[in-house]
Amino acid sequence: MTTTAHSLAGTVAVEQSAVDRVPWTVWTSAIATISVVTGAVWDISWHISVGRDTFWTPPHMLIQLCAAIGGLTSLYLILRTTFTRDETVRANSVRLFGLRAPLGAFLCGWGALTMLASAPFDNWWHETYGLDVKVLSPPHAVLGIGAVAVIFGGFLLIMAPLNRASAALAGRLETVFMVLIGFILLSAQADLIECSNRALMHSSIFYRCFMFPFPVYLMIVRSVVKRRWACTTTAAVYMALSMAQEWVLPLFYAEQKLGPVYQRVPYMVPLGFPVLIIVPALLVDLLWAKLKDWNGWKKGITLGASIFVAFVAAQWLFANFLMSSWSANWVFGTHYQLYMAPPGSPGMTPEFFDYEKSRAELALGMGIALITAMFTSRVGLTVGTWLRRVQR
Amino acid sequence: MAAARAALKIKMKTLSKILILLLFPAIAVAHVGSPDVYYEGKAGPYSVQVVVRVPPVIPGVAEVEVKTLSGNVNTVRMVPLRIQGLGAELAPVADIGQRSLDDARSFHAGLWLMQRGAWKVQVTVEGDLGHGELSIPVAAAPTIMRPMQWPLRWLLGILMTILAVGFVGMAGAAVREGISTPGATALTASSNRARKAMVFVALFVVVVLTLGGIWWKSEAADTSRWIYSVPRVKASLVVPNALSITLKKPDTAGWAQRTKLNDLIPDHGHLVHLFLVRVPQLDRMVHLHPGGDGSGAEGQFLQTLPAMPAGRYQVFADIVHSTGFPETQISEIVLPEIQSGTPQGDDSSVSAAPLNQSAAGQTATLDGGMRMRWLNEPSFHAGEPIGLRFRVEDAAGAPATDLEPYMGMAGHLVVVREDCQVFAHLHPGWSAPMATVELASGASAMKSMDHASDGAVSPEIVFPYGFPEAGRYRLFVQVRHAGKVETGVFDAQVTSGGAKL
Repeated sequence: MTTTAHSLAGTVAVEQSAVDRVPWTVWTSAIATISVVTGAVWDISWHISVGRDTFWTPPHMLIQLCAAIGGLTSLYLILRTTFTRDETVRANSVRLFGLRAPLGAFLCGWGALTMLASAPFDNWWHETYGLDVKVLSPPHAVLGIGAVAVIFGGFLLIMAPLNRASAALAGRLETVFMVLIGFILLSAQADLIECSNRALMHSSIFYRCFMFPFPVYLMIVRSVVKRRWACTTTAAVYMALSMAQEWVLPLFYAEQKLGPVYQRVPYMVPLGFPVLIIVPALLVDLLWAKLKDWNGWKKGITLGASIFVAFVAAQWLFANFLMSSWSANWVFGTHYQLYMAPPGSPGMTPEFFDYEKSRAELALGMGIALITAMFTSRVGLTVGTWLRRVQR
Repeated sequence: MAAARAALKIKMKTLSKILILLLFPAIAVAHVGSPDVYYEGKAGPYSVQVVVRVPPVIPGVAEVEVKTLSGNVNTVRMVPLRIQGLGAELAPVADIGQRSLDDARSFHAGLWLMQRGAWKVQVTVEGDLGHGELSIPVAAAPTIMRPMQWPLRWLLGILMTILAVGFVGMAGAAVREGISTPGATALTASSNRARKAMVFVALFVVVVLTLGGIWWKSEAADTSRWIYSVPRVKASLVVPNALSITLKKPDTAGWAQRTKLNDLIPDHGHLVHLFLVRVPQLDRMVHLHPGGDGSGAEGQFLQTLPAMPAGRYQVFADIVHSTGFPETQISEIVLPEIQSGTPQGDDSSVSAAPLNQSAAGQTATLDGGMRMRWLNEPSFHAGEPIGLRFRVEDAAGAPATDLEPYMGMAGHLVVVREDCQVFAHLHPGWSAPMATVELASGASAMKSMDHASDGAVSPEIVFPYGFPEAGRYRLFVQVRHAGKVETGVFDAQVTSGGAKL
């Protein structure tokens, strides 16, 4: 027993000297995340600009690349770790059904298999219920869950070495982590396109939607990254990426391949100007020093409420600007139209749409959004704290 | 906004309704059980045959086949457009038909029909004779919701089990070893925590799958609201010899809400074409055109019946909505013998030998010694496009020269399968109702079409069609001669397995 412990300690020491290099799995994880998010944004823009697609469109290939990278990385790590006699490698792994690999590798493989399983399901869905006209459908959800698993598996492959790393390496890995969370926030904006129209920004539905993913990711970043302005930096990355798609996509020509065409739209339609998540992110960073030692629920409730209040205050006012003629330009892009929406239809004009039919309904919806923000903040803190402890 | 609202509202529907819909037989608007559109006509200087195979789900892909019969054609373009209303003016990018490897004159494209309702397929032909264009009406309605077949059910079930077990196992591994120092062995306490985590995650997986199932059922229920079911027209005898007809809306919620019965447009000059076919022998058929019953009630019509033998009759009522969306409504009625009365105006009536006693003849005898010959070889396959070709001859066997237009057409063909699950009312040139062809083509284009409105009627009539399924069919071919409607009755045995255009 003593010999074994001594031997393991030795292998860990050897491994410690090797971790100053950024592991290759960090880069595969980064490529998988960036490819799937870029693919998703491009694919949604394709659907609302061109309309028709095939399995072989470039955005679909980018999405599938995520599955391929996740699956192959997973397969390699599982085979290598299971059958190697290198104790250094085995020491950094967990056991699952007789196989050994880093935890992130198993999650990546699970995600890739889930994405694969979504393909026949989606095909059957088209044949039974018709070709997709919605982003959110059960087979797409399965695909999304798979992609999220590949991304989080990648996070684990980043976090395990980060938690064992020297300060210099940890700094570099934290940078990668914040950039990737920035991409994921962009992905969340894409997924929520059906409720992110400026016309809904004075309705609770907008805030109920965004309070699902955004607090989770802000709290994960806040828990994982030790830098003072971690959330602000991540939100800035998201804003930059989102503005990039807003400014770049319309530069490309598009022609509609699906009818009915209600108006000609000769450009690729972007997702919309980024939401002002940077305001609550800044507030979280400011509050974090005082709150970080509070217990989880107290912290989650306080930060969740702060995020909600700051986000509503910023976005509500910003929505007024988005309804003005000052925003109908390439910077803010509120003049872009959709071919499948007749000119002048709700959402296409600078007028708010009353999704809730009364003030009481609005207040109730806002209350739900507030509670959602508190809960998802707590979830984010739990996940972030756990990620900070992952070793293998 | 409606999309946002719909996407976020998960509505619980009863499973029983879905199962009932799953049991519906394949049905189709404008005809029964025969959804595909067959068309033969002119695209400018080019003669073309077009088949549009309508998808059973909407949004879905319509398979369009175009066969050019004249000129050297370089390109055939096809594009779907709404017949009228919003979106009817702007066409998406047309598909370029892929030339068949087997037949250089045939072109194929898959066109996406994204919404329910009245569409048209615009076909543009370019070649050495220049440019030609025509439009074919297509009624898009989801008609079935197929249950998942067992191989896929098993595949997805196995994958789901593997993924669920794997997820629970990963949770256990994460708690047991994930946060342990590399190389350290798992402690008993960690193992206990891992077991608890696995139980918790297993419950979480069950909850997620249950919620997913609820979502799935909600989506299925939403789709089922728009499955088109053939409306059951209400038919009742008004003693002594009148038939009262009350048109109905389709009974699924979406269609019932959307369909109007006060927007019918005339097809060959009549709002309703009513066919009564005596079952089971299909030995009597009347083709009638009821008018309003005077009550002003929506969808209410009255028809005086001609002399008819007693029996059980299958009722088919053809109508066309102002949107260009055609429907055939069905019913059954048991009638006593109607002792007197002759068909008036465009109405007609015919008797024939029972279906199970008739020899599958190629010649039918008409009044005055005239004959009608069926010129096709009596070999038919389901799904195979074919021109059903008939020739009317005088008593001497020469092609008849004195036929008259019957409701503006050289002839009308009614096709009924033995079990009445297939019914189609066809015309020379196309299988769609005339009114929808007119809407799709526009008034100017119709002037160039030869549909016998000028009085010159060829003795040889061709009806483009494809029998949708195998079975025994009876065909009633109607022409007008000397002011009287003459009907030739023929039988066809159709076998499975069709061929392409």
